[in-house]
Amino acid sequence: MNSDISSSEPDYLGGDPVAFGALVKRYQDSLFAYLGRMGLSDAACEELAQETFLRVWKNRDKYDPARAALSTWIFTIGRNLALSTLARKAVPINDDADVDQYADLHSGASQSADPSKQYEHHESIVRLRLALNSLSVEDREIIAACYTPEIEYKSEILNFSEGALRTRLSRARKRLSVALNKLDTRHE
Amino acid sequence: MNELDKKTEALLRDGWASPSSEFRDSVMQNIAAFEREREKATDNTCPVVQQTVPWWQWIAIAAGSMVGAGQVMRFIFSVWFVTAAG
Repeated sequence: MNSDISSSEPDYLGGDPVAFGALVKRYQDSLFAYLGRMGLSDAACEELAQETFLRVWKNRDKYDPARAALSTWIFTIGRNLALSTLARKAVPINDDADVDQYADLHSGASQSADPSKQYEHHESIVRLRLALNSLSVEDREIIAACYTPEIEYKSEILNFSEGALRTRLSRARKRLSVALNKLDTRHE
Repeated sequence: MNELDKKTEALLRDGWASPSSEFRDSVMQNIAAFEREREKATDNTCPVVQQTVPWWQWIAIAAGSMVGAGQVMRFIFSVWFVTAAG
């Protein structure tokens, strides 16, 4: 399917650790962001991203460029790990700590200590994460995939048709918007 | 795409933190540890020696089996004979 894409890429999976290090560098930020969009905490994202790359290394012989682009394969491994983690809830997702943190940030309790834009950004990301966590796993999964440009064939990963994916994304975005508004109302 | 404001859109796309600076080193250390374990497991595997059984041993096994079967038959007949005579 995507052999033309993969053939132009360096041989990341040939068994050379240096080349594999380049692959980690290339995808670590986007994978981390993808897992964050699934509603996982930074610590959980780091743990799952580690596990994803380790599995990519272990299974590198099984990768078939004719079946999927390398990025799609990596993100599929990450997605499966995230889904099983969310199903088990073995890794803290964030909830309570973020709720308290958001309440403090929103009331300005710690604002004087850090009045910069960094503070504002942090508040926004905590708010967004809380809203994402109030959505169903399916909604989060759709949002995460659709906002990750490295995932090329989103409908294939999610097993939806293109039309169904557009509809479901639109619904998920509406629900996210409602969740954000609810969060603001609760803390006003 | 609708309903979400531009700020939220931007956050969803680009607002996420990057992994720590040690992340990649940590991944590579895990991979090195995995490879070491795998090599150790390969070294510890005992070599399998394929042995073939020579033809005369097959004959001995067959003869032994026939003698054994004969003895079993002899025992069964003797029990039957004693039971029938009694």
